[in-house]
Amino acid sequence: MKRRQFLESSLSAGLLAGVGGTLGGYARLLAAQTAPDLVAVRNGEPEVLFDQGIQAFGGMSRFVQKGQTVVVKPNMAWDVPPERAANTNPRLIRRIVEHCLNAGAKQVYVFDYTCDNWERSYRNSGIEQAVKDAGGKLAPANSERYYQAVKVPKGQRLTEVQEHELILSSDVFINVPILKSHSSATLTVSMKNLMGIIWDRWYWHRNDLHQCIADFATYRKPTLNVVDAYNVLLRNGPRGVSTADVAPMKAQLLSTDMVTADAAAAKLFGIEPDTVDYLRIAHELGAGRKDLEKLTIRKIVL
Amino acid sequence: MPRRYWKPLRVVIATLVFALAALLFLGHAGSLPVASRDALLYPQFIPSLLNYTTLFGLAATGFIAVILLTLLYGRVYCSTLCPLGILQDVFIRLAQWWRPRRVPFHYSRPHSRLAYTVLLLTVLTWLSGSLLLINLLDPFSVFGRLVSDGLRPLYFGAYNLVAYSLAAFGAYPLAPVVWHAAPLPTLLIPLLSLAVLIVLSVRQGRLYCNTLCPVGTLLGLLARVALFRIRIDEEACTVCAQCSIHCKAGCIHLKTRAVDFDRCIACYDCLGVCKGAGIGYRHSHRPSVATVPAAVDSGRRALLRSGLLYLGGLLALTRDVPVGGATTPPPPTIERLPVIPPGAQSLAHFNATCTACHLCVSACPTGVLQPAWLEYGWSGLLQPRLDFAASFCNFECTLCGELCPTGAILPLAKAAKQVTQLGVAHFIKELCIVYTDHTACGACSEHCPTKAVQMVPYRDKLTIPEVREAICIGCGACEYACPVRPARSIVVHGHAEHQAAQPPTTQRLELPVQNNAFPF
Repeated sequence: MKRRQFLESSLSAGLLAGVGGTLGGYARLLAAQTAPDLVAVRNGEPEVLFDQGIQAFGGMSRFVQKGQTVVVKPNMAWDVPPERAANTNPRLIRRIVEHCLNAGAKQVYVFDYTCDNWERSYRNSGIEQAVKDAGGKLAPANSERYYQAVKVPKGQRLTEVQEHELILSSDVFINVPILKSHSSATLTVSMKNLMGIIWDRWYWHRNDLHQCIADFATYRKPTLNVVDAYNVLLRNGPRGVSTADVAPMKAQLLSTDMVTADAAAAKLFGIEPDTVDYLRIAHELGAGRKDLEKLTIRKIVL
Repeated sequence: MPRRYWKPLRVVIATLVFALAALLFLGHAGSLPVASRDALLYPQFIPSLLNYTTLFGLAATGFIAVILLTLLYGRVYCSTLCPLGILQDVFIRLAQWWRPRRVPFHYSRPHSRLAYTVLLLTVLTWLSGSLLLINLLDPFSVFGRLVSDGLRPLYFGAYNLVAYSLAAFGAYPLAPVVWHAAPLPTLLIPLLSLAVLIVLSVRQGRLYCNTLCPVGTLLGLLARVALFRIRIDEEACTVCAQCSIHCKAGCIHLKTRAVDFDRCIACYDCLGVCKGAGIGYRHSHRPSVATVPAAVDSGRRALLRSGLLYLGGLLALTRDVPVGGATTPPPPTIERLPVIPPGAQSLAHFNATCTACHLCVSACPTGVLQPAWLEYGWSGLLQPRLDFAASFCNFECTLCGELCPTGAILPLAKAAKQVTQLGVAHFIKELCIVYTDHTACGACSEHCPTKAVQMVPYRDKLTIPEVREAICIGCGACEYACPVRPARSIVVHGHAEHQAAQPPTTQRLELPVQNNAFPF
């Protein structure tokens, strides 16, 4: 090959790559413009629901860039097996971690500040094994040392809180709650799930729980929320007493807005979003939008 | 067996026993093979004896095996199976390494009066219904507390330091151990034991085992009539004195060539240092040994005889006449009874069987088991209780009952444990946040595994806790979770005797209409 020929071909290859890159950028921009506010998927296995749901957003690469650090926060607060639906479905967590790593994530951390003994909860929720199988890393959250004080500027009752360092240091935060009934908060979904990334949850209980949940939502906004509604604990939540409390729904909700995700989850659960105090307050504080009728919703029934 | 093998064999077994015991009490009981921990616990004399009085089972015959072993070869237990004896050997070894002495030990006169008095008082207080002296003196339990209360915090402190250091670099291969510090005064007794043990062992070898240890003294009595005893062969002995100056028990009297076999802790150091065949095990009826001097023996025999008489006499008295300070404790009169672990059956059974070795305290995965100070009264000093300020009893866990070597906490199957009522939650409405602040809470109900604590309608859409006592098992999850301070608004009152709880009710669930549409 002559030198000129080589230069020419290299140049054109470079040009092509450049243009391609630009086009890619446009494509992403285009996707961003048409991205729905909420994706609701139904009638499939947890993995399939997520594959379809994330596809509707243009794939995981919309949220996770090459070399980024991701933290995935399931609800695995309780020492009960997966069929009790008190913890996020391990199969869903596994799939999400896989998607993140496929998108080029450098590291995917998974943790929860549990209510029951944390080692037993990590293990018996099935999530420990799922994360290991997928290639992610489990992190502990059972010591105050992992938490750092942060300000909640728009908070009314909650103005300062200690937040887990991994949330602060990671590039991407994927919140993966399970939809459940809840004896304190009526319903637990995305916003309530964030009580597992802060240290002093007793403070919240002492200082108007609903207000604190809403206050925190004005400060911490996950990159993406994936609501597991495959099996739903309809009563005796958040821990449940037996599998008799669980109803299969085979659904999943995805949104970048916690308030939107939780409002849709409330409807799916069979109650009006306004009956959940923290949902109403969060909307009023501008933490997100609960007015589903005005939002772009992608519904996928498999 | 050739005499040169005795000591290495003892050292190998003792090392295994010590390592196993240390791991158990450091909190690894849940992860060790069941067979290995059973093997360690089986021959522990006092736990096994107490367990036998509860269970009468084959698994609790360890103390009989030790008695038989002692009747054959003397106090093999004291240097091979007793973790506290081995610990003293470790102290002695360290002291010798730190400041070597050419003559580490020498013959010492027996302190029989002290030893028998301690034994007698221990037996008497036990028979009169208090475990106080047994708990303070049982070598297995003393060792357990040293490791569980003393060493374990340091061990996990170091472990956590490594975990935190690694976490600073974004690596989380180790997770910190959640530490619930035991009440400070409960540390005094282990610390005192440690001080006494170190001072005595470094200066006087195994003096502790021949004075304060009731097991040592009891086995010493049996060793006197052992079939095989360690003796000096006058013909083979060159009077090099090596055996005597290496005897940690100080029981080899070289002038008379006599071995005080009831004080011999069967460490076989003498067999190891003897160049010839001057000292070794001999059949007790073989006459070719030194005559035991009467001076050493008769006094002790007389004391023993009178001691036994004394014991017999007092036994008859103890039924109604209290002896010294160690009397049957009156049932605790405090309003709120302490909560005892699932399987402990009743305060009466638990307080009369637990030696406060703290094996369950070390193993408890949630850390709810904590040593008591005076919650059970003086007699139950250091016996564990459920401390709901520290944590709560995990619904799925039955570890303490599986481990307990004395039978104080009897094993329970998971299904049985889940309907064993340790106590009942009491709700104090006037302290509850829903009542005082008029805001939602429900942390107690959230944590309740049976939903005995349920939220019922209150005012303005609010809900407030209500306890369904029949299905409450007293696990303390509600008390632990209650955010109200200083006094919590839901507290568990222990039962003097555990009750049967009803299993949680399960009604059919009204399934929401399942169609594939979305309600939005």
